[in-house]
Amino acid sequence: MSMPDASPDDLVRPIKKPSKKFFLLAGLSSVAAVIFVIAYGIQLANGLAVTNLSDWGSGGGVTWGTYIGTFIWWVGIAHGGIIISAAVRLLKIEKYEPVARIAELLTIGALSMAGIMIIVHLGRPDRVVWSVVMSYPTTVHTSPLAWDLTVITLYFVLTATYLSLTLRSDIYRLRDKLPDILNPVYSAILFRYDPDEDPVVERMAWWLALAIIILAPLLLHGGVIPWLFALTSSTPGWFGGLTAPQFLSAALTSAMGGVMLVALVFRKLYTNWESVIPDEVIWGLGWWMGIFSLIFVWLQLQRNLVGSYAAPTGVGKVAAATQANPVYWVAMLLIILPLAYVAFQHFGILNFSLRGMAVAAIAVILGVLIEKTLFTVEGLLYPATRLYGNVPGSYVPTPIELASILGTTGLLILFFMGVSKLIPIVEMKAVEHHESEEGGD
Amino acid sequence: MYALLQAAESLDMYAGIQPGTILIFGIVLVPVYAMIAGWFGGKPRDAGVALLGVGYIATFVASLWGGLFVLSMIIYALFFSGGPMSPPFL
Repeated sequence: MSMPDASPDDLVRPIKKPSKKFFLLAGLSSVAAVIFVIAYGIQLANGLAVTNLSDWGSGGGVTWGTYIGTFIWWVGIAHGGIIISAAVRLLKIEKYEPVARIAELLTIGALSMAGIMIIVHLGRPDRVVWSVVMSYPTTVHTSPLAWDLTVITLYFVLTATYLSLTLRSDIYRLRDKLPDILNPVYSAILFRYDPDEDPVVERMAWWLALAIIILAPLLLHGGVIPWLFALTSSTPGWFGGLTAPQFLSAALTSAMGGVMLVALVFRKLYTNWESVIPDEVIWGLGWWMGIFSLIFVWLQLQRNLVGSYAAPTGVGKVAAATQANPVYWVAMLLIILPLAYVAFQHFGILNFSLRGMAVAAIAVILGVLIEKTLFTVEGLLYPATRLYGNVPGSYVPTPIELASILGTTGLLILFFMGVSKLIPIVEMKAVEHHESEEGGD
Repeated sequence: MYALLQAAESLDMYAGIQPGTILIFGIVLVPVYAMIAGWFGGKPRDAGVALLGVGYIATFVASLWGGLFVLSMIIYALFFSGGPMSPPFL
């Protein structure tokens, strides 16, 4: 793996030359988005009855399912994404600079998709803003849902601010290489820009990175988001102190996979992008994906062991149900096999392969999606309360719900394609550091 | 911390400090307070650029929730205002 020599011209190439592959990907993603819009339209016109999400207690089954599972999945990808970027700035890990902005964009895009999943799950989405804002002064006292909306807003805003501030210098320096037709956009980004502000902005970005790196693992995906579930004592499948570490490890695993996948797609689409995002970066992301998936699998082992050995009734019941469900084992295999693959590569038993890494990334991303959906569903299917014992039910995702996964994935791809036509998705300093950069995990 | 949360819990629901108030404004937002303090008090500093950062934050909060409000009103107009696409139970 030799050190490449990328140039600023490489960075602006995606902005200038839409290829046939670009249009093909945009077309497929648009079809996915349209299918989602139609499915959501059917749901709005007929109510949530078109899904398998029932009124708990009368219809059997569960009230939270694929929508919430997908929400956790998107939030996880988002939170993990920005951690990479913040770590690059704070810990000065220059090796990962080429994917720092991709990680920031993944955070903004994935958080938006998470927000869409919440809206889609509401029976009356037209009331969401008014009811949240008006009730906030009282709901923030005790409602994990209010905390959740607070931290998601916070996270989105901090990431967008981070991106906006760090983008200014790059746009200024690349201005003569960027298309004139987008001048109004660049003028807005460069509002009151002065090259002398760069050291100040660099320091502000450092403070932002510090805030993000404390917030993300300790309080957001290792805190407020899992507390939506972990604080509910009536659902033994959700309740407990292990839920937050499980969420965080799953988030970081899928985020590493997500960033790697986006990086691989851009490498595939554009000439000489193997120089912009070298093999070492993909190798390193794969390594970290393996580490986090190992922690994830270890925490699953803890959960299963504790649930299987002399556990309280509720805990034992949900653990037995999880272990008896083949879907759970599919999810585990989708994470364990890539873990083994990455380990074999690292130990030199298998050769490094970009195609193999792409498959591994897709596998862990799917595995986390399935596991998080199953986690959501089984918590509600096996509650501690016996109030609903006479109306047992089951849950299978409907095509209407599945369309939301397809559609938000398509929308995220469109988001990336759109942004890559506006701004350089790799920072200038990543190219500048290539010459002096050295490897290391 | 437990004692603090217990004490807070005993207060009236609509007044006083509750667990969530402590959690969000006393714990979760602390890194953000530190960040803002660092922007204005750290070195190198420039109050104009720090204000620009605060402006970005305010703009993104407003555009996020404002955009969501617009979207929700479009959904209302299309599906919940009694028109042909309204749900059958309305």
